[in-house]
Amino acid sequence: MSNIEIWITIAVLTLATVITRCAVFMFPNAVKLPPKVQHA
Amino acid sequence: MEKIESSSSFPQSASLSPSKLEKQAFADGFRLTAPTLAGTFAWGLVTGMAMLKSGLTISQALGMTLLVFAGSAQMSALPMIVAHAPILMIFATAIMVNLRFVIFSFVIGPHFTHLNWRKRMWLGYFSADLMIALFPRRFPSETLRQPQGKLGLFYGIAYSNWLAWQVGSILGIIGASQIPQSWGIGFAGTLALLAILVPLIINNAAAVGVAVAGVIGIVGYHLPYKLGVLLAITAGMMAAMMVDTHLKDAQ
Repeated sequence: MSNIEIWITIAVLTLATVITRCAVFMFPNAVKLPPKVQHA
Repeated sequence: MEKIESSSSFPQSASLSPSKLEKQAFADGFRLTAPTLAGTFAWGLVTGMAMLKSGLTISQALGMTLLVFAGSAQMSALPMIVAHAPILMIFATAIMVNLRFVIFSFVIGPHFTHLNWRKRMWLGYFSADLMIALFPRRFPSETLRQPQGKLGLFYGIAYSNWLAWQVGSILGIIGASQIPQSWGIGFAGTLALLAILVPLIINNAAAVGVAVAGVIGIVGYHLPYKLGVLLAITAGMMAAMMVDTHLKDAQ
């Protein structure tokens, strides 16, 4: 991979972290887990 | 083995000012995280070494550890970078590996709905694996409406974990050529995580959940995109729910 491709990959990996970790924090009311699942 | 403490043992706002309460909660978060820091440091060290040995330059490795801050996704991406895999495929793999964070944040996120979106995004970024193991021990789902001390505890866990990871990772990047792989530092990280996870098995339902997740995790180890991790978490949760329901019905 070229240097620029590696930097793009790093940006893309950062995006993957932000999407998966922040989505529920950002939109907490979009999906509600049933209390039983939440407890599990 | 540390006793699990719920928010009922947490200092209440009646006796402390809000800022003192948050400071004390921060210290508590650090204290809870302290036993895991050596393991996190070791994991960071191994990941830092792996990045350099995969051909990344020092600036790229530093950029990756400081921005991505997700060891499993980083470790999954490195062989794909070496193999010149398409970037879209690396992204898809990272999303799959990180999907567990979506499940985790369903537990942690609802505690912070009173904050503005910038702060929630900041918290989300720092909610790594350790958060799901430690935060609910002090603030279970029954304490959703009690905001006192949560932010301090979250930051205490998150920042100490982040710092241990980054220091380990940066030392790994700098010392990649000096530390032999035969030292097995990565295994120390695994042992440290086990020391945290075992006390979380608080009842029979949790024990069954852990056993099922463990078996599925081993059986599904070779599944593509690390799907075995997601399958193991889902199967473990379902098994724990079923046993919990069965035990309650039996009572």
